[in-house]
Amino acid sequence: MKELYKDLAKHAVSYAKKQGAEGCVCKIAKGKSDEFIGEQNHVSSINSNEYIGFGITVHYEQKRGTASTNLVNKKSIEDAVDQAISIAKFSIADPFLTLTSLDAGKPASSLDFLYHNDWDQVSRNLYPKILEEGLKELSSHSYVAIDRMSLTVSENDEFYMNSNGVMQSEAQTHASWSVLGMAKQDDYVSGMDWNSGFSYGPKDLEKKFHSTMNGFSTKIKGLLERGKSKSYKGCLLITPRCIDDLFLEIPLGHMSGRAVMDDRSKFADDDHGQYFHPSVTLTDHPHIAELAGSTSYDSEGIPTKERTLIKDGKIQGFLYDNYSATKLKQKPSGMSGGPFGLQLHKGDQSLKALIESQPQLLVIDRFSGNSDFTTGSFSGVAKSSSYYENGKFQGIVDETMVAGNAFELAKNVVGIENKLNINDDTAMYPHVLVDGVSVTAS
Amino acid sequence: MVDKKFLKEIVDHYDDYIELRHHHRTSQSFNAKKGRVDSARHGEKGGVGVRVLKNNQWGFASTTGSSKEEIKSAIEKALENSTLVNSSQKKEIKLQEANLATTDYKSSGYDDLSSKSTEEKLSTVVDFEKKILAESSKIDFASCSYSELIEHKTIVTTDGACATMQIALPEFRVGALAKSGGEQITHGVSAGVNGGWDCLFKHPSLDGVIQKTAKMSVDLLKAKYPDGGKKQVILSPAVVGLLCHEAIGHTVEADFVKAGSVAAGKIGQRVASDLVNMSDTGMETTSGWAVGNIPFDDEGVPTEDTAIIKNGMLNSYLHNRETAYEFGVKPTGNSRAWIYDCEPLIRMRNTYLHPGNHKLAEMIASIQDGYLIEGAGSGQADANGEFMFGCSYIWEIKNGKKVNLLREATLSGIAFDVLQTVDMVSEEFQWDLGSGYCGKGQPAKVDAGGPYIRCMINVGGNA
Repeated sequence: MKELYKDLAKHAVSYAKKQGAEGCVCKIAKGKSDEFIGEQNHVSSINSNEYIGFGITVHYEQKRGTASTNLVNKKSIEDAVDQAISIAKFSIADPFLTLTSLDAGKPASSLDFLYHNDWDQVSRNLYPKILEEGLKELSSHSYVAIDRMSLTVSENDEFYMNSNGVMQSEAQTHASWSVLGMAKQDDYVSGMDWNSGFSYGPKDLEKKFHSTMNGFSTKIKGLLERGKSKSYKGCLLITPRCIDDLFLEIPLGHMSGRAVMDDRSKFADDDHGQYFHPSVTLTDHPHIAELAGSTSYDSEGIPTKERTLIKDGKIQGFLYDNYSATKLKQKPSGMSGGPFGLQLHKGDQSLKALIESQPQLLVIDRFSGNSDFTTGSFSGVAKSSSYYENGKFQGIVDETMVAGNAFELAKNVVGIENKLNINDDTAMYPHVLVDGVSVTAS
Repeated sequence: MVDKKFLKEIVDHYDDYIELRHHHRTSQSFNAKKGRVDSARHGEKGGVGVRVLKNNQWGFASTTGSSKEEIKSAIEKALENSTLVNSSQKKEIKLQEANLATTDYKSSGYDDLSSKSTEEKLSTVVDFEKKILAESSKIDFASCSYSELIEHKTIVTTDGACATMQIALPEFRVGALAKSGGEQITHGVSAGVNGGWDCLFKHPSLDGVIQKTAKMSVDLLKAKYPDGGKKQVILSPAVVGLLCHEAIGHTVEADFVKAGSVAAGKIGQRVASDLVNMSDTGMETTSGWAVGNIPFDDEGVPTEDTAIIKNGMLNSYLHNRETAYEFGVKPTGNSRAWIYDCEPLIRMRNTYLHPGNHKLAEMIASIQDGYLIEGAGSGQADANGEFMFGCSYIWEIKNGKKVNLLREATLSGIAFDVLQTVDMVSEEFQWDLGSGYCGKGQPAKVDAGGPYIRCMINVGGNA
């Protein structure tokens, strides 16, 4: 990041202190991107953007205020500081407001895989060609209806500093791509589905892009194999794509320090309680080249590290940010803004064995519905999901509802697949077979 | 702010279609829970988005700068982008003619909200949170939040648009968690308007909101789940709005139609009972504060009421100028971008079912065994019209009377199938989806609503 911007950040912090703030954080995010967009069978638009944003948080008389601006000059930065102080003045004093200390915010080791200089050697003309080939390939299949395909190449730069002297910075390059569409045949139109891909560097970009598109074509074709499910109460096989929505999101929320502090966590009584089945182990990996969430420091400037969140079904403590750590007299966990790269450890059963183990089985790929954070209950429609009877595929099903409770699913694990799959470029999950779900066919 | 004449002087030097959109946004948000202010934020973001059409190819670029040099540099970048594709796959792009806007519009709430003190907004949030908590010993947790967007936009194009708009969009949310004997439940209410502070607190959903929120969350502790199954129901305006926006509105956005949504090829066909009339409008006048009120869209096309369904027949899609030309129709003013560095997409504005002639009381009296569906939560729908909405509470109706409060129902079905079963439409009407955002790759502020309607729908209950 240019020294100009870092100097402006330093100026923001010193100006805030001059104005009477006892603490200040300044975050800068700067970047540029080229986005190539395709619709149906042609490149519809090419968009170039450059951005910069300054976010300033002040602690003033134990009150917090935040302001942001995308105007890069001393006056605008000072105006943003003044605005943050002005908001803080009307807030309520809170003795637990804390900024990351120098000790907790030691300089993070850089992650070399995040930034690739060789993007400069790739001609911009290549990207629309890659997109066009992808569109041509997918459009050649009569069963594929493309809504939108995109390829974005970006470069981002971030800088964090606070009035305790903590300074972190990180630069990143990446390409991300996606396709959104549905299956169609005669009068039938399936639900929407998508595939996406990601890479920090340009190596094998075309190959990875086309692999994503080929995967999408196969998936979409599969949606035409329609069948009917039957209503039952019993097991559900959760695909990697659905693990966050149905299996992890709510329990992980109850592990947050904020939920504990607000008496909203079901786990508050025991920070090493057995809330999951003993076969469940979950770790967070912030430094993995294959995952898009990798980062060397969290949103509060604390260096990240690999961390076990659940071991053999027992949670390994709560996840504190600075505020909840201070309030509950704990140390911050360095996971603010995270988790960054979850891995649910694989089990010992093949996918085939999991499917064949049940007389009736819905394999849920996406969940479209509502979940209640407080009670853990969920209810909604299974999308792009398939139904099996005695291990035999019966078809992709429409209008099939699922209902259950996330806390019960966490304990009622019947089996875990012996293979990991990268999910949406952000996590690595196996398929998980759980018991205790109601499936209602249309 | 950037003067529209200044932007016009810049574009007048170009032969190709050039669209300049200066967009400046000031935002504030405050959140209070557990007696503390969890967040208090102020944001400023602004710049110029440039879209060009050259040789049948769109190019887009943006700049945070407002000088002539910076804007011209963005134009050159956008023009360069439009030349990157040299391909036989290009299709001809033409823009439909329109009487483009040249007006200057300021919404009634703009000056009021801009001058309202931060102190009053923040103290209202803190005050409401305290009061909800104090309503009942069973309320264990309360939260309150306020947010606003104050926007100034200028649209100038080479083919005649030269207009400005200033609008203010405040919204308010409250929530309560009630606990008793091992049972706990959350309930929340929200409202958003296109208007000022007083206008926001005149929204029907915020009338007595402290008492209503606390009471409902406590009452829901004792409520049972509904029995699942296909039921005769009355959908409230908020739920009708969800149906209109999520389950039908997206399927008639022309870009989605071209991709093959369930509405494709159905203009002139029956998609609903003949009691159903549905529109998307940019300037509703019944209340004047619907959140999607915009005088013109981001191509400078003046907005109007677009009749999507007329007497049960699919009548129109929602268009930008490009798709309007392709389909041989007038542009409908649905081209919208979230902020200056986003390209405009086809988005809804205020989507609604027209009111009818029945009264709600008579509709309730007409049902022997069914539900009054209120407590609209979030919802999702799909390209094939399949939808799923969550409702935090509904009322059981037995022998023509509202009898029991029930909790956490889900509604599902195929939108056009449900609309075919509509057999009563109330004269009562409300806009009720102005808080939150519509997502389609980028956010958009919209509103939706309608009358009460009687229909058949799948109701999901307890596991």
